[in-house]
Amino acid sequence: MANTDDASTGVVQRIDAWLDEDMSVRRAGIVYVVLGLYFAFLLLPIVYMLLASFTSQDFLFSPELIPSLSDLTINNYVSVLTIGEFQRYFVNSTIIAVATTALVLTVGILAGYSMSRFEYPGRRGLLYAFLSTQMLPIVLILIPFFLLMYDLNLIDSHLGIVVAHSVIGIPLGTWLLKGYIDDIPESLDEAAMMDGGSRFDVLVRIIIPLSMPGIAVAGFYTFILSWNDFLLVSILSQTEATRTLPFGLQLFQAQNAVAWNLLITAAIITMVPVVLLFALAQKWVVEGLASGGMKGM
Amino acid sequence: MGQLETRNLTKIFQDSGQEIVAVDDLDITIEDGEFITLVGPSGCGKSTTLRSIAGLETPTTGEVYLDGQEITDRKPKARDMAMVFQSYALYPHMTARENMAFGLRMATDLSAEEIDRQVTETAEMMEIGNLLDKKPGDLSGGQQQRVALGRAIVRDPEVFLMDEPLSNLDAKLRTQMRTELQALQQDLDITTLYVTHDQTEAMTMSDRIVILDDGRLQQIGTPLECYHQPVNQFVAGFIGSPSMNFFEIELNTQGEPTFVHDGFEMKIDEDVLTDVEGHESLTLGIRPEDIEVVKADARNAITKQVQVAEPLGEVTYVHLEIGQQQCTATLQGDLVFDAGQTLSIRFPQDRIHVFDGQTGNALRNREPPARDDIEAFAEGQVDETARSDA
Repeated sequence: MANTDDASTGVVQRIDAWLDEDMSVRRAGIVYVVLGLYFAFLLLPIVYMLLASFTSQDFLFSPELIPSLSDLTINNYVSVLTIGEFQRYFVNSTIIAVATTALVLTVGILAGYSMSRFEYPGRRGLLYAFLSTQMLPIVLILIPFFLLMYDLNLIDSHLGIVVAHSVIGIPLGTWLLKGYIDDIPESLDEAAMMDGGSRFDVLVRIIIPLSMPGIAVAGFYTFILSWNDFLLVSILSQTEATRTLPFGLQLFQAQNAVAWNLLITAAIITMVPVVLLFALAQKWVVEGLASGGMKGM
Repeated sequence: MGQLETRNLTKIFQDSGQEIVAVDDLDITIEDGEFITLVGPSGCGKSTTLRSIAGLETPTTGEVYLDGQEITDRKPKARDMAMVFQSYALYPHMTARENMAFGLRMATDLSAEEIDRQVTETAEMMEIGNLLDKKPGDLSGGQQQRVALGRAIVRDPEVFLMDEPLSNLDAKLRTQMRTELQALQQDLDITTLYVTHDQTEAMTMSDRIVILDDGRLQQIGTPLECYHQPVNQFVAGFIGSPSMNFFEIELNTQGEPTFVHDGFEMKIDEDVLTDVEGHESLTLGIRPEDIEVVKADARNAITKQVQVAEPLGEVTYVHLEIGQQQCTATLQGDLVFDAGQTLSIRFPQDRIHVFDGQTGNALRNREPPARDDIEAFAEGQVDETARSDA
C-alpha cells in the first residue's frame, strides 16, 4: 500500500526536518546533556586520577569518594620525584622521544619532499612499502626485530630504542609530510630557484615554513608514539639505564602490593609533558589536521 | 647584454611508455632588448620552451645560448634570468617586501640596507610602496601581479621570462597591465620572452612574435607580418579575431580561370593564377574585415542569407553559410542586418590568401598595407568630408 512507502520515506524526512530545525532551548539542552555524558565518560577517570594523586593510600582504600581538604597532600609527588630511578626514567624518556622526533622529522621532510617533487624509479613502490609497514601489528615483528637489534648490538641502548621508534614513525611521518608538501604549488619552488636559491634553500626557506602545520602534526604524533611506547622498550631495554616512563611505572607494582597512590602520581607526571606539548602546538596541529593545505595563506 | 638563442631545442616527455614531443627542433634568436612573444594553442610547447630557457626543464637535445655562451646545463640560478609565473608564485609566508628582497638576498651579496633601498625604489616605480608590509594573502590579484613583476624587476636580470602573467586578471585590469608592461619593458630595455595563448597580447605587446604549433615553429615575425603575410594556414587561422575564413576550392582553367567552391565561383586575374597554378587542391582564405558588401549583379558577388548578425556597435559580425561552411564578415556597425535577410558579398582579389590544400603553405598572401601613407590617408579623409559637405 502507498502508506508503507510514505512511512519509510517519512522517517528520513522527519530526521531531516529535525536536523534542520532552529536551535531552541530544549534542543540546546539535549545537545549539552549528550555532550556532557560523552565527556564525563572520557574525562571522569582522568579527573579521578588527578584527585587520587593528591590523596594518601589510606584514603584510596577508604569507602569515601570525594576527599575533604584535609585529606589532600602533595606527599605523593614528593615521593615519586625523589625516587632516583624515576628521575632517570624521565630523562631517558625525554632523550628518546626528542631524538626520535628529530630523526623522524629530518628524514620525513627530506623523504616527503623528494617523493612529492621528483620522479625516480621505485618512487611509487617505496611509497607503498612505507604504507605497508603500518599494516603489521608490532607484536608480530617483535621477535625478528629483537634478533636484528641484537645482531646490530643495539640492545639496551638509547640509540636502539630511538631507531625502533623511528621505524614506526618515519613511514607515517613521510606520508603525512608528502601529502602536505604536495599541496604547496611547485611554482613556488621554481620561483625560488629562479630567484637564485638552491634546492636546499627552497626546502629551508620555502617548504619548511609553509609546512609548519604538517610538521607539527608529524612531530606531535611521533613524540607521543615514542613517549608512550611500552612494547618495544620492554624488549629492547634490559637495564635501568634505558628504561622509560611507561615501562618504569611497573616500579610501583611490587610482587604482592601495589602502591596505587604513587603509581597514579607517576602516571600523571608521565602525562604532563604530552599535555603541555599539545597546548603549545595546538594551533598548528589543529590547522594541520583540518586543512593539510594552503588555505588562508 | 641579453641576446638569447635556442639551437635545435627539442624536449621529449615520456608518458607511460609513450613519447610526447613537446618542442621539436626549435631555432629562435632573440636580440638584446627585444620583446618576443611565444604564442600558440594549448599544448603547442610554448611553456616548455620557456621553461627550458629558464633551466626548469632539461632539453632532450639542443642548446640554449645567452650572449653567445652556452647555458643549456646551467642551474636556473646561474642564468641571470627572472621569471613571472601565471600563478604569480609569491611566497605566502613572506611580506611583499620580503618577496621582492628574496632574489637579491639569494643571488647577490648586497647589504641589507642596499637591498631594502632597491626594493623600495622598485616598489615606488610599480606603485606598490604602500603594500610592502602586507602578505600576498592580503593583496588583490592585481596587486599580487605587481609584486610578482616587482620581484622580477628588482633583480635587474639579463632576461625576463613571463609565463602567461596576465591570464589570471580580469579583462579590464589585463588591458591596463598590458599597456603598463609594454611601457615598462621599453623603459628597462631588458630582453623579454613572453608566453601567452592570447593573440591580442601577442599582437599588441611584441616586437616580434613566435608562433608555435605542436612543438614546431610556424613563423617568426612582427605582429603585422604574421597578420598580413602568414606563412601557412595555421598562422593565418590563429592570428586575427574573428578568424580568417577558409574555403576548400578547386582551380578551373577551362575558359576564364575560376576558383570553384560548392557555394560560389570566383573568377580570378592572371597574377593570382600564376601564384596558384600547378597545385592540386587549394584553400582560399579571406579575413572577415576584408569582405566587401556589393550589389547582387557585381562581378564575383556571392549572394546568401544572413544567419546571425552580432552588432558590436563599431562593427557588426555577420555570419553566412556558404556551401555548408560558416563564413564571418566584419561589416560596418552603422549597417543594420537582420537574420534571414539576403546579402551579396565579395572577396576582393587583392585581399585574398591562397594556401596549398595539402601542406597548408601560403601560395599567395594579400598585399601588405603600406605604412607611410598616413598623410595621403588624411588627405583622403579631407576629400571625403569635402564630398559630404557638397
